Amino acid sequence: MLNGMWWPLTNALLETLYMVFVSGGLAALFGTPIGALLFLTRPGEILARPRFHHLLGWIVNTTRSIPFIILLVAIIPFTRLVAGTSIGTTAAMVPLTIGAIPFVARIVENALCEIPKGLLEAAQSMGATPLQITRKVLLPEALPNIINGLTLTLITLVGYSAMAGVVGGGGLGDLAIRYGYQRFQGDVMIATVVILVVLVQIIQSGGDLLSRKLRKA
Amino acid sequence: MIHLSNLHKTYPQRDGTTVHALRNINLDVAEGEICGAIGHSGAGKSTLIRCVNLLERPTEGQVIVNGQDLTALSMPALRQARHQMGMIFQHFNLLSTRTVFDNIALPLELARKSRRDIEAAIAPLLALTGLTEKRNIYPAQLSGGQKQRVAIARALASRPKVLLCDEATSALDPHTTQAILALLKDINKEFGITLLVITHEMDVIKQLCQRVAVMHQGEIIEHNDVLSFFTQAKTPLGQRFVQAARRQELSDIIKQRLHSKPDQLQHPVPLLRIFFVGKSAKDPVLSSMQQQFPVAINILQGNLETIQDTPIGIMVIEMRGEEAAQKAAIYYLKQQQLTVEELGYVERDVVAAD
Repeated sequence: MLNGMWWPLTNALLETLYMVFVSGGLAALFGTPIGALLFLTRPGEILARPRFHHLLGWIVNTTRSIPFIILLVAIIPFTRLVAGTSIGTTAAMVPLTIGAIPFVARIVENALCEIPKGLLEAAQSMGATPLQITRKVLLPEALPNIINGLTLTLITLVGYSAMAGVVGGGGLGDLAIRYGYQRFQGDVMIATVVILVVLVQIIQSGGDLLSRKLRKA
Repeated sequence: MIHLSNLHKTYPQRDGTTVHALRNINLDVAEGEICGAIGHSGAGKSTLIRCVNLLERPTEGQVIVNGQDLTALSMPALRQARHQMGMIFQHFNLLSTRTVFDNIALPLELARKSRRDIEAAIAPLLALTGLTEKRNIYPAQLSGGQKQRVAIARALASRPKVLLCDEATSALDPHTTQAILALLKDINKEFGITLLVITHEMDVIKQLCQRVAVMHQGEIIEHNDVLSFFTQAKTPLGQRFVQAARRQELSDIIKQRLHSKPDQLQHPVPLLRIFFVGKSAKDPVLSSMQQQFPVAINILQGNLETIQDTPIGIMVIEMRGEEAAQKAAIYYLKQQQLTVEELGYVERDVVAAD
């Protein structure tokens, strides 16, 4: 069973982990400020800019509504600009990151909405700037919820990364399609699915644990 | 210290009308004074206190705190001015992910103080609020009273000149309320901080404040010092607040038999309510009156309370005797700085008759 497949499977797992975690991290890095901006510019919030808010919201929604496989191909010129190439694992991370950024942005925005308004009022009454309010009050208070959302993002990225094979990105999903589906190697198919199930479970449990630890209630 | 002049706040509604949250508010709070604003919900109290540190920007009028016109300041200058004003809230508004110490440290972090300065500033605040033991605990593990203590310590961290209290005891039980009011009073005495308090609870006014403003539909309808407010509130709303707080309601037995005119009674006796304030509460005024005038009194109801460290006695009496003697006796009481309210007439021995 799985004759000669151990190395390709390990390699594919590493590629998946690489794609999911690096693009997840990058998406968190870029998505969090966008999410904070979405929240702060809402009508009635401290930096209320309704028109900017709606424009940003529209861009986020548009990006989210493009099917990932289309996005993957559509932004190839941009990918080449950023990664220097349009094929391979590293290249696949560009569309994965782009796809996850609006997802993270909405998650952060929603997490910030959950924070009691009184906390913002208290921070304002202490003379905090909007940046200080965001860094010292909003994000730390919302962190447990943001972690839950990032867990969700990582799991979504595990799914998206299966399509990375289209641009030669490799990974478990790609392996499952090429060996398991196209070459009728049922054992490879089952092995990849089992690994993915375990991976998703680990990500979910890790996220839950971290979120619970950060929640001091 | 706080000077509000001609303050208006209106909110435009979707249907084109406007809601007046504040109308022509004029309020002065002197340095070191504790001033309370009381009113029912919707009277504009919250908007009023939020206008003092400009969490709400008034539509019209001036807000002058510590000689600075806040409405004229730029945003950065306003933030600087806010460091001189602490604020505490009904629901405490502590950060759940910060320990007691780090919550109190927040205003100092915002002002970019060094870690060592912060440490030095907070130790005495923890001691003052009795939280030294709790410094590394998270708010979720604290009781409501302890949370409000943390909030008070946090509000004091930047050494403000003014402390704004927004219904600070409304979420606390009566016992904890007493403790928090006592702490606020100590803070006022020790640091000379000016307090502006808004509340719907008369107890807060009674125990904490020196002056009171009564609010109704966005207006301040009465300014008074707390002592005269309790004995002689000027407005019907003020009187209702005082009555509710003072348990001076006439008992039902008396109320049922009270007549506004003596005509239908066989032996009409005037019923009086007398307030003794301060010195007169300690002097034997009633017995000197009885020695000087041919009247007899019968005490039907009475109680004594302390406001601003001044005892106030309230007594309901019936006064027997010739009409001329009664008049002279009442005049004598008024001369002794007593407030005398003529409630009406009852049949003699109103209570005993039952």
